Amino acid sequence: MEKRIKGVSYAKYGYIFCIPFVLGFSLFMLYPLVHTIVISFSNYEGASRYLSGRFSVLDNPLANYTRLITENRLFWTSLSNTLKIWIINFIPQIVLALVLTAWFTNRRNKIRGKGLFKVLFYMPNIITAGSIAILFSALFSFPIGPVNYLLELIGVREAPINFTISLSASQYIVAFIQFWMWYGYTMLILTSGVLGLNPEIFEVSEIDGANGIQQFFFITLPNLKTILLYMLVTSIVGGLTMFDIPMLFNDGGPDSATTTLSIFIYRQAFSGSFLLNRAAAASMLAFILIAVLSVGVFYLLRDKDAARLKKEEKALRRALEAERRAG
Amino acid sequence: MKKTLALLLAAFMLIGILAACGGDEAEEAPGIKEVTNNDPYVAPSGPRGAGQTINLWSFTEELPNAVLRFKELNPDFQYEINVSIYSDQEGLYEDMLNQALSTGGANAPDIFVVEQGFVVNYSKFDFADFALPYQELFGSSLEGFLSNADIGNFIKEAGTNQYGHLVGLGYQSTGSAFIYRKDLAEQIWGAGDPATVYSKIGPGWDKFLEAAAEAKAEGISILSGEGDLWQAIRQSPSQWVVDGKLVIDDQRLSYLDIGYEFYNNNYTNKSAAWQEAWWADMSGTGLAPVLGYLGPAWLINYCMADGDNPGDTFGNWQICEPPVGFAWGGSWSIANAQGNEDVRAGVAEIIHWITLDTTDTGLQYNWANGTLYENFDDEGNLVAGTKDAVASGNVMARSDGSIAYLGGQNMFDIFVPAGVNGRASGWGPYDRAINEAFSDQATQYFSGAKTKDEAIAAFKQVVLDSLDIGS
Repeated sequence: MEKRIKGVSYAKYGYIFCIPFVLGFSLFMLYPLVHTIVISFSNYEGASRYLSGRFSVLDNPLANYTRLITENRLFWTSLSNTLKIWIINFIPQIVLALVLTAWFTNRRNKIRGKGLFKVLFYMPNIITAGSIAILFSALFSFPIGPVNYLLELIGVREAPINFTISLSASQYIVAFIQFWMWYGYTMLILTSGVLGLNPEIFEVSEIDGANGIQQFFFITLPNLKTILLYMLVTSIVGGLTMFDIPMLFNDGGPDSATTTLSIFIYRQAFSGSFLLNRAAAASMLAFILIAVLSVGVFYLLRDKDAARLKKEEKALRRALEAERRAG
Repeated sequence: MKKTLALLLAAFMLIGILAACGGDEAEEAPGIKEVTNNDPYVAPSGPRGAGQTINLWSFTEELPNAVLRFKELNPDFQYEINVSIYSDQEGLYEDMLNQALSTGGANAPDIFVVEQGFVVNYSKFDFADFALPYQELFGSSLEGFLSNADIGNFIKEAGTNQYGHLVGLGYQSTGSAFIYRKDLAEQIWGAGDPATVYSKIGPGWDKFLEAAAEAKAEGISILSGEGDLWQAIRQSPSQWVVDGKLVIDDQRLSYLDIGYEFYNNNYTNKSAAWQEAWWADMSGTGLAPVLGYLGPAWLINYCMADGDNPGDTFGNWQICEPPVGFAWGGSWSIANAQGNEDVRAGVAEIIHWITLDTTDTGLQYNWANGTLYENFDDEGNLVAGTKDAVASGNVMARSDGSIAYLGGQNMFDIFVPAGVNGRASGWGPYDRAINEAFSDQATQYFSGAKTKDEAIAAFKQVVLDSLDIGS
């Protein structure tokens, strides 16, 4: 009896339960990923290869990469557009979200209708990106459109402005849409992060006479580090793969000003020449970039105290070991 | 154990991926070379097609609805019609269609509809292997059908494959006219009849430019935007890509100069096609009153005269010949050579009804006269619905194209000869992307952001970078 109980292993159930996920993941994530890597080293381009699905790895497997990096100006334009749009969207976004978080979580001021405001701020995130892009392209239309009408009404401009052919205006509008869509979401995550902190710390600081600003900078912000890290990494991933808004707002234009990396990749593959191999190579470069940036952010926001403690512990242990051996 | 399993899995996957790779096949022009059917076409009768499904792919509801109406009118035609519609925006329809065609199987399209922007990809170029020659459907009767229908040359030209076989035909005629407001023409030139207006605006772009200056003097914009000009100018007789190299021919290049004049002299309202302002100009509620638009019959029926859009201008419009003839849009119906052979008789019947049937029960006669669907006026009387110019000259000659929006003018008087002006020889496989890139850079030049040379250089660079076509 006792022996039998000993023999029961639950481990196999773990494997069985994992099967659906592993299958789904391998089929729909891992296989395409590996396939993309292979394509990026191949001659898979042109309609006939696209149709037959037959291709071979190039003699110089890195040719697609070197071509993109050394010859393709549009690749670099789209990369810099992406970074630019992401930065002008992210900085105001995180600042506004932090300010709103500080307000909403402050224990001293009692704002009425907090819930309503949170819902309102989150609203843009609920609407589909497509509708928002179309909405904004209608708002900024030329020569007659709501924004131009408004500018004329308040007397800022005499003649209507053609936003859709101005490179920087289009970039700023796309960045603004991203900002407007996502600050509510960022705020919610940050708020939940603050509410998860131990209230005693705040009480203690109040007793010690800290004001709201001091509380925010010396208690809230340092404790939010992990949440901020999460925000930053997800925003980098989301921002560098930005596609729908710029595509629908102005078709990646004017003059490729809102052509992001994802639009570039899509166009390489599907705008007529079926350059699937180069699209795959550009995807891999995007992947590497995102990975490097994410690791960089992790490194910058690492818990320095914990790391130092660990290091000291290690050093101590080594010293002990050395002593023991010596002894 | 675990490690071996993981290794095994990884090995399997690699094999699977590498299996997809393989030798390169010899390059040969796509398209079907040999036709085998030389029997005359026999119109089917009696109950047919029960339990069988025809897959129909289109980028608008227009043709699928017409085919469903055909089924309604012909109860003996019992095929199920399985309709797939994807918007043409951003090339979505082409992507979906390409995937469906190359995947094949039971759900592969049997009939697919393609638009001017990409019809030649499916008739002559990349995807021509899927285009079944009409002769396989109609055999020796095809020639007789064609001569009877008298279809505009460019429609046939666009639908012919590299080996000279007809694979697709449209049902609309999209030769274009200058559609103008009579009251504004009277204000500018003292007369608004088509002959006078045509003598002022054409032939040729120089005359049109002069007319634009005269209109400007009265505070009227001759067009809504420069893009309207581009629609006409881009249809040059030669293709963008010749022997793998990008060529900007003189006609297309001339858009930079002509468009620059229009833009910087404020001859237009500078609105972009399909944007709010472009629609507003149709009802005279835009920035400045707009004299007219360059476009085919569908632009009148489905855009300008649609619903409440005309506002006060209803009935005040007329059409005359454009300064330079061109065609804009159109839908070609192609039978999938690799589709389900069991339903081929049904496919032939539908395509015949759409493109070659010139009788009073064919699509085109009803399309031209607005009688496909039953339309009633407010008192419940049966009246003609939307009329459109159709591909068959035979049908147009027998039809009445007078519409209230044009103050009772018979639009076929202009659109029948306009159909002759269309040219498909310059339509190539990369038109959509290249045209977009060119007009994008042209706008940068017009607005002063770039010099002409910079704009041309940037255009060439974008085409090289995104399509790998050098110059």
